[in-house]
Amino acid sequence: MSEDYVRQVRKVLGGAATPEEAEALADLGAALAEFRGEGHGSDDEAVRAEFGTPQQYAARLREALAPADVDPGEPAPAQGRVLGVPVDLRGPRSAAVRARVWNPADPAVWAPRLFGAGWTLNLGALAVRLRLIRPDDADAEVLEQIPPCVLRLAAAAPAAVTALGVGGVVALAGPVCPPTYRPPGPSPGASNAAVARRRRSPPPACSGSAPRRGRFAPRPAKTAS
Amino acid sequence: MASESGGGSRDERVAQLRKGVLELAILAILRDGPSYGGEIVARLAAHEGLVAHRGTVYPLLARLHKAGALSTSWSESPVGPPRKYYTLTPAGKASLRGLRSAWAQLNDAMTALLEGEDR
Repeated sequence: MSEDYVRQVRKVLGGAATPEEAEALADLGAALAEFRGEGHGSDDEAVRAEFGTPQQYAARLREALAPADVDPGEPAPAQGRVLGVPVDLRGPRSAAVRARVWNPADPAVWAPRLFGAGWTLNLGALAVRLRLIRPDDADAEVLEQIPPCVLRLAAAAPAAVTALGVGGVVALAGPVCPPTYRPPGPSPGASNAAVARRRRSPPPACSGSAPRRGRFAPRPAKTAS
Repeated sequence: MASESGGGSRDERVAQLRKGVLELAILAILRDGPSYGGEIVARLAAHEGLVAHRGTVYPLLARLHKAGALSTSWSESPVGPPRKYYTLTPAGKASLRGLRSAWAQLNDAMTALLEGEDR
């Protein structure tokens, strides 16, 4: 019964699209098992009376986990402090924690680290100080006015810029790569006569000056004094 | 939960009123220590006016967990399947403090307003 109920809720949600939804569905399975263990057995009516229909439960869950519930202007504070240093061991799993690194509404440039002890840069405050944006440029009301397709495009822009950058670096790095190494011996197709001719011919003359000493230039022969 | 008279619309209005308060009530219950879903529902039911079904409480717990107000851990149950325990995080304690003072203000304002109406 509980598997059926969870399956129906999952179906109404259109699959567990986010980790939070997947976790909430796992919790629902455990909650139903606990409810059954309290003497309600597999009584469908009792389950529906306590949890609602799968459609109602899915609607409540969707409402509870809707992204709109996360206010980007109010990031979560650090988990705790040790000797005045903020410490957070949750990691950037929650949007409220991640919001610390982009919080234009908060003038403080330093925010508690997303994971570990110490501080990290609040890039939103930095952008405000550099006069790139205003503190209220990206609040919830403004975001609501932006069409979802534009937001998706904006979210994909960093990946596109990164791909262009990597492509550019590869294109620029190409010419400075060392040429293919050729061994000093005769090339496979050269005839013995051609090799002998090349060995006999003098090196190309330089323009009147002494040969420049490079890394691989031979040292001049020492003269006996 | 059902009203004596007035039909479903009154129930719905009461449910809407209670919904905003339930989050604060859950945070207040967890202030005393970690608890699991069934126990939270039972402790809410001990207060008339705060009775809530599991279908309401579990999504709220998921929301609070997502917001970073609660941390979770699994623990074996002596009578059944393992239970998920919810604990207030420092962010949850801060949220409780903020909501508590907001509730006190709201309560004073509404009491004054409603008593004024009675006169």
